Amino acid sequence: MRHVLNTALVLFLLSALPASALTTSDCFDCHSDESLTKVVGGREISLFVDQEVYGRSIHGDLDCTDCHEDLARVKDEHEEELQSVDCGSCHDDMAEAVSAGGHPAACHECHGKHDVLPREDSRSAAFDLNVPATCCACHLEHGEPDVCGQWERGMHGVVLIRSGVIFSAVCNDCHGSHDIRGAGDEGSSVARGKINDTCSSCHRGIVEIYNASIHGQVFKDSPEDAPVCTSCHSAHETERALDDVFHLTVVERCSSCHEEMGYTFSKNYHGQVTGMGYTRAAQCPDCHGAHDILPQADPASRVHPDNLVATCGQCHEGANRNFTLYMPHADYHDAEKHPMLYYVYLAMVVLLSGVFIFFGIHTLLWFIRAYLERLKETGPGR
Amino acid sequence: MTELAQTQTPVQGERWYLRFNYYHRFLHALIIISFLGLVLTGMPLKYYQSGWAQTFARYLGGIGMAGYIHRVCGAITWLYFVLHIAFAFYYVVKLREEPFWKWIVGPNSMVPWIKDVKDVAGHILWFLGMGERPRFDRFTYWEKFDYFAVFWGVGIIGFSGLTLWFPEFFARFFPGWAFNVAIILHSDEALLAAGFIFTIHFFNTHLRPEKFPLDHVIFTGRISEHEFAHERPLEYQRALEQGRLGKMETTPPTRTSLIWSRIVGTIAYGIGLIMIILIIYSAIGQLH
Repeated sequence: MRHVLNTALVLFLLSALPASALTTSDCFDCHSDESLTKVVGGREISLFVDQEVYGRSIHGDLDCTDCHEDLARVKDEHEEELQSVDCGSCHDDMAEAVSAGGHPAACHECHGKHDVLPREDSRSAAFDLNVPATCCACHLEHGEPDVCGQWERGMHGVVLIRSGVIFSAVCNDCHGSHDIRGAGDEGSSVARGKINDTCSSCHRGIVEIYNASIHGQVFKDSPEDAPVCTSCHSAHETERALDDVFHLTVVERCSSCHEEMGYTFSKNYHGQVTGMGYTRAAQCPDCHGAHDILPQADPASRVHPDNLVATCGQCHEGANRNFTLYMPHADYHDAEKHPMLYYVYLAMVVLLSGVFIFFGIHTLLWFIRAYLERLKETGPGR
Repeated sequence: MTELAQTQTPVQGERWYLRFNYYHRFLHALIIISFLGLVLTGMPLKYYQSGWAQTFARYLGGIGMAGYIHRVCGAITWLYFVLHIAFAFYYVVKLREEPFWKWIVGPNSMVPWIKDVKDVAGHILWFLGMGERPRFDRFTYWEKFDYFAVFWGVGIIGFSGLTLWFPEFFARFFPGWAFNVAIILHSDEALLAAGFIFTIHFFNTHLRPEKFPLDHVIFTGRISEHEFAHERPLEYQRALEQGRLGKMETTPPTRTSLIWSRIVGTIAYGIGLIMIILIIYSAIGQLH
């Protein structure tokens, strides 16, 4: 009897109040409880929301129902399953960019949920210094090339992590923030056709030099046939051109297109000592230039005959015109291109073969004879 | 004790004669040191694509250090070359022990002459069991070949090496492609020198059964009477007839000098053998 009366009282009191939606404080009545959980797919997940953190977030002034829109229609207890929050209802341009690009992450995977902060805030997951960690939370797992490790070892990573330079390039500086596409997508900021422009947003001066070079000229007409920034510098593991590792690997990079030049380089002194890890020897860019490479016939080229004295003179102080007649790419096996070198080489082969064949036989016969003589002296019967 | 074994080990009461004086031995020591140094630091560059070459360079303190050692050894090479020329000049012009023309054709000359051609043929016939062993004089034909191999080798390798050491200077006199030629000459002539010394010279002079394991005469300077008479009968006879033999007589080699000869010889053999194996290994790899 008493139970019935209590129920009636509650109903009476409730009916006396105006019917209204859930307020933020209603939500925190339950969700402040740190032990509040539910089970999704066999896994227990917390339903706790830290009110203090939420209050400090950029959305701290909003009501829960501003984002959890389906709750706006709920008067009392809500369904266990809520609809996903649609950030695009306010941030429509960003949401459109994400869906256009096709990056599969949900907003909160990068920005957080109740703790969303503006990207200028150093605690934000989207703050420049924090972006690598944010992206790498997924990109380390997905079995792709170790782009995060490569970036860390690369110049951009070193400058950011070791030197704390905040304007060093992090993931979104090249890949974009919301309209993120694979490099194979022509519309991507890192697509072959667009990467030069992307790098140019910081390395403006270099890209202008590059555009005037033979590589840049070819790129204008047929982007597929010319190297772009990342062809030589790699995408993530961008070495500093002054570092040893760049000196020692640059030949390989250039050779991936200029195969023959790489081969003939390796057959000559500069290539040999470079192959032995001697960075001070001349590698491709030391003679041909780096971003300003021009064909030999171009009077502005570093390897144009008129400029060679200066080019060789960078290392060989006092080099004269005679000096520049050295052929750093000579292949003495090539009788057509270098007949004289070929015949010098051939003469040496004949000399060596002659000496070794004559003395080889001489030595062998001598050994047999001397051995037989020895047997005669020490053999049985003596 | 066999007859041949006696030639290498001092026997009580045997007479010993001086074949190489301190100057000769000193120059040969310079050759050993510089030559081994040059081969050890040069071959890794020639065969830099082989793993062993990289390891060599690393243990030598990098290719820069190897290049430094190579140049120091090159300078030593030029030093002994000049010292030898000075000696030859002193011997021929100043000392004048014999008429000037004998400098070319005499038994004390290093210049190959008709007898040497005959000796080559005679020696080969003896190898084949078709004749008596030729009676050799003070310098045999293979020793003269060794001598001119070094002389020619230092000339070619040494000069091409100098041009590559100071290309800016030599470009005042030669066109730049001369350095391309110099590299081929330097590198292949060095291969010839290393290949020859580490196999043919080692065998002819030291490792053949009569001398095995080492002919210490270039280290101790001394040759036993038995070996002298057996190996160089013409010179022995002439010295005997001219009454010079007594003047050539000296003390037997000391035990210490023999031990040191063995140590130095073994180190040189070891380095030579290792280098030959590595060179052949790399050369075969480069054929492809």
